[in-house]
Amino acid sequence: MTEPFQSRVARVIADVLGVPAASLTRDSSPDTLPQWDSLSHLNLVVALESEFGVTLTDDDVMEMLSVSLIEIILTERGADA
Amino acid sequence: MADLVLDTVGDSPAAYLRTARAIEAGDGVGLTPLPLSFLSTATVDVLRPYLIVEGARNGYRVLPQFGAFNQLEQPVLDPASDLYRHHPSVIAVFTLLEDIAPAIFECFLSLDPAAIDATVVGIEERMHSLLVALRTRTDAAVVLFNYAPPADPAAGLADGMLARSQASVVQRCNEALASACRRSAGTFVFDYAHLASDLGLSRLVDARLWYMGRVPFGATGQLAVGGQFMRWVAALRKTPRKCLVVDLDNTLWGGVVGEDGPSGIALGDLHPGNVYKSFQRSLLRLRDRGILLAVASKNNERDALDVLERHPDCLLRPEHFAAMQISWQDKASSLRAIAQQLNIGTDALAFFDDNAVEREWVHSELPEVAVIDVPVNATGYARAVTASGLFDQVALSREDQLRAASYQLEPQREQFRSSAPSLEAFLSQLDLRATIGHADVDTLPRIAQLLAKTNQFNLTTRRHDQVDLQSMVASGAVVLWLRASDRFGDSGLVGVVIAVPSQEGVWTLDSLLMSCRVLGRGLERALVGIVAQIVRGRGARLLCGQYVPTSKNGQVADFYSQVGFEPVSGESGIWRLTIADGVPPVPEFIHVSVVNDGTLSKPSR
Repeated sequence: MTEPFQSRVARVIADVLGVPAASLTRDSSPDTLPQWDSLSHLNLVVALESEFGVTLTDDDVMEMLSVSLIEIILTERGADA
Repeated sequence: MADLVLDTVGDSPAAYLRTARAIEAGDGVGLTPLPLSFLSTATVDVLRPYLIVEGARNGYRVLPQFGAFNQLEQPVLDPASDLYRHHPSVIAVFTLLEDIAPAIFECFLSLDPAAIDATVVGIEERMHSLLVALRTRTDAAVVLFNYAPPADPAAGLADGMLARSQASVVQRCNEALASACRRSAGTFVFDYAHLASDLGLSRLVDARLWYMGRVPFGATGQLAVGGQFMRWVAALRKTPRKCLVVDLDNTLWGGVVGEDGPSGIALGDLHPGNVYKSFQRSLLRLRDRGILLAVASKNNERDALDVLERHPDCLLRPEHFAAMQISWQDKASSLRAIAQQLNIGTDALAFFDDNAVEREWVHSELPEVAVIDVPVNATGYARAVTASGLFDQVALSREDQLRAASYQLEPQREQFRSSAPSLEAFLSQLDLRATIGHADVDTLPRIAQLLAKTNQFNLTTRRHDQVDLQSMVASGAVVLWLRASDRFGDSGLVGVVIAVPSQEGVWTLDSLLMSCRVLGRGLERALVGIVAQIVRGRGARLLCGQYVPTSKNGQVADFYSQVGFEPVSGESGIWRLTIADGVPPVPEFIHVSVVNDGTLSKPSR
């Protein structure tokens, strides 16, 4: 039984930022989470790429600024939603 | 405890971050605290989870602290800095050569030699001052990461052609770091250059992370650096194992000597024997570093010693082992006896055995013995010993280094070649020795192997097997082998010639081959000279040679003409040489000895 896409995304973000997955909403962003600083953002990039087996572009990296945007970008890059 | 967490990490960045947090939150109970400070000209903070998790694997609760970005001297010279408040037991200095010596990267091709020299000296002096400043303020171990080779050399493809390549200048900077470290006690180099070449620069670096945050390594690189650096830190603080105890059958050679006999085991210069010979060589290198070797084998002592004392390709001889337990007793008892004989604790032993049951038994009886995880394939043996980290040392003593140097045979031989004025002079100074003998039960398997595998220097490519060879010898053929050695070492059994009587006074060279590793030394001439001499002694007046062309043996098309044979008109590929009055000369620079006049019915043992 496979883990639903949205909960996989939330789990990786939670692991990287060190916050409970349940505390994340689709609008969570660097503005709402103090743990989402520039270093964590880079950690997010490599963690998401590793988890979903995709390669994010330079633009993706600059635009993935909320949980929902991350979901959209991962889907565009071919992650199985 | 941490074990439970560590088993399930995998290698995903998210899992490392999660596990590191769990260790920081309290799963690190029982680990030894290790405050670790980084000074850096780049963003190395991303290493944090990898340092913590890999540290836990080595028994440490790593407490990382990262100095302010691009500050080296400032925190070191300020006694009130965060660096000293952290009370680190290890201080790592990660600098990028781009930051320390920008000219080497920005305008390399316009630098003159004096400017390069000045840059290298400048690096050593800057690092020396930094190390002295640290040494007077803290007793922490200090470790300098050295520099990876240039990812994109200024001269591009031509870098390797430059009188001073950019890569060689980076290497000189690395030597400058090492030199600075040798001038201060308790300061070391972490060989980042080796890590970079082992992993590959393109896998080490992620350009996006570099441009976005001056992070010098990508996800793969972060894991590799964290793992290798914590292995280094563990080596700094642990004593290496004193003695490596090895099994014999299927460990030092392929097969079981008690069943296959000394001539049936795999050990030699051809596959699969070369795998085991190479593993033996790696153990000798370990011994050169001062690690004792010992044997624990379930065998008849005589069978095992036959190989260790007499097998021509067995590099490890009885005198290389500090202790030998060869009997049918259980291996835990053998290990206890070895420890007692060497007057060391069983906790100073490491154990290497291909048999998982023996490994498990030793582990259960003597948990303090380090049992090495042995891979299924012998090609992975040497790497398994290295990767175990059990013999890691962060620095070798001067004595260690001198001893190790005397065993670097191949580089010496190459260096010798480049300093010798001509090939002829090179060969004559090489102290070439050829030993030639008749096939016997010890050498027959290797002769058959060479016949089966040699393609290039092989005049007829006839794949006789052992049974063929025996019947050929029985019907009067002369089958000779040649072993070669020189002042730098033994190349093993590398040549074969087979001569068969074809009619009254006429012998034919049925097969003639040399391993390509020893070509260009005149050994093939020696082999022809000796076989001609031997068949002449049996009444031959004419020696015939044959060249059977294949897609691979073009290089020997002219061989018979080069050693004085004449083509037989009308018969393509057939050559003849009158030997009634004399035989082709053996090159003067080869010392040839003929060791037996044996036959297959008379084994050498």
